[in-house]
Amino acid sequence: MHDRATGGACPPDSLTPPGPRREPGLLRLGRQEFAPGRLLVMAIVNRTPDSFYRPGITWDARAALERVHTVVAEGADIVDIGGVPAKPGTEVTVDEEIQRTVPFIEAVRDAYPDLVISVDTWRNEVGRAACTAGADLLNDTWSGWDPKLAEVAAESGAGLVCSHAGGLQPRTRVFRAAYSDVMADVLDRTLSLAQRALRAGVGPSRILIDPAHDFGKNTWHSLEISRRLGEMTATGWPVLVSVSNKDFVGETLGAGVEDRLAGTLAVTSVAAWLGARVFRAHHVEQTRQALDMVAAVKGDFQPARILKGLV
Amino acid sequence: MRELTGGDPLVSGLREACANVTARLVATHPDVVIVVGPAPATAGWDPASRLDRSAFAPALGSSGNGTPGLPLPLGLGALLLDHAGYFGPRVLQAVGEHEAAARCAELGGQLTASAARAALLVMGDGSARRSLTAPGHLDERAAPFDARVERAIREGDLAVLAALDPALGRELMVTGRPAWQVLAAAMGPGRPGTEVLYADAPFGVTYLVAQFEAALNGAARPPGQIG
Repeated sequence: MHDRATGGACPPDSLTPPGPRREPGLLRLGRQEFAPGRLLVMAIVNRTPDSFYRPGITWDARAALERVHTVVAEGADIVDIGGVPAKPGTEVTVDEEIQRTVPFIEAVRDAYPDLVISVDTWRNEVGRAACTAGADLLNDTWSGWDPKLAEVAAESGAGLVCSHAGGLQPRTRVFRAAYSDVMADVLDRTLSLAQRALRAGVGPSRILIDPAHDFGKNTWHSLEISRRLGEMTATGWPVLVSVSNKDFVGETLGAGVEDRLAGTLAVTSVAAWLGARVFRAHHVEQTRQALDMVAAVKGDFQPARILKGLV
Repeated sequence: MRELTGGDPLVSGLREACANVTARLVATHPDVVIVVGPAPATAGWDPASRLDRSAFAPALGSSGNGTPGLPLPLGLGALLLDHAGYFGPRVLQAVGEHEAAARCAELGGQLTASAARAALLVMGDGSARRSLTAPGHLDERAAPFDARVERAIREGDLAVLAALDPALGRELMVTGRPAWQVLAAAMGPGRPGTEVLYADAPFGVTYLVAQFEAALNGAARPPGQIG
């Protein structure tokens, strides 16, 4: 089967390799299939030591599993498990990262056989161990820094997030980033990674693209990619956005990290309106409600209960 | 730049120091002002070039006269001169970030080789690794490095600037290193009179604002400023 890959609004071109056909609009993650129009919440579950209490593995894991129960009940479609912070700090080795995430992934998979599990990592060794433990999606926010990660996704039958980070090394901060056209740069990078993933054998319907707000971009750049997100969704690749509590929200509103929910929901709603499909969030219940509201306005969502004016 | 950093007034002391030092430089009535700043490559830029703000803030749109690709330090230097009311001859000289010390010294000598009374506006910062929240996070070596640079400036010790290690400068994200080495050579022999108007790292990046006045030794020598 070597049809030219087409996908939704993505026009065939000389760069599109022959291969399995992408079903237009369909997003496959794990055992699930998500039709276009479904707006998915990816719940953030951190497996990093919390400075508030002593890092005791059992305590930590129990609390984290509780969080998984909570977010599933709140409507999360995907649980995103990460063991390394995005910001600079004490080095976390591959082994340590595996320790933090893989046993936990096994526990979540045990509890939820069909839940979509993603692992927030950029490293192929971690990705491989995570997929063996049951992960369905490799959420790489560092723009393919490790080229082997795509191969791991392909071999495991997992999905892959293709992101843009402005060339930054993992766990470094943006420093005077300048772009003649940031959106063009984002498109160029994410689409290249998506094509590369296709060629490596990642399932065509299992690839997402993510502009990665604030990664290698200042607040102005993150606002611009939010404004022009329609250019990403128009490619036909499913778009993931991760805007929850981010600094561009805080800098825009002058809000500390505890105070960014309203701003987060606002840009979430804009992204949903412009066609994004997956929304990585801390506040699952509120994000679920905001997305359902946007979907209802679009006409994609069955309202819960309508009586007013009809009785 | 206020239009880039939003509604809150920030580090007004730094802005004032930059404006102050530029005003002093302009007040010496130089024949030409040479703006020197680090960039990906060593190159002269059209003296009429201005910063393209849209590269840093797309929402501000490209102002009609923004020059795509103009290195930030040169754009800021040009802006300082505009705000100081200087519209005389200017040179915009980018120094490659990876240029060796010797090459920087050579460039410094070339820039001031002409008989003109030239003033230098040298743009470049200290380490960007001064705190946990700094762009480059915290490197314990950064503060001592910056302190050495500041002391050298206060003492007019150009040899220390000329001898700064480029590799260490890169590791510590010291953007000013090549520009300071151009300045050190351009100031010529002798110990310049110096004044530090600002030296601090409010955001984890060290900003140094200083004035240099060349030692008089018979021939006209250029005054220089670091901003």
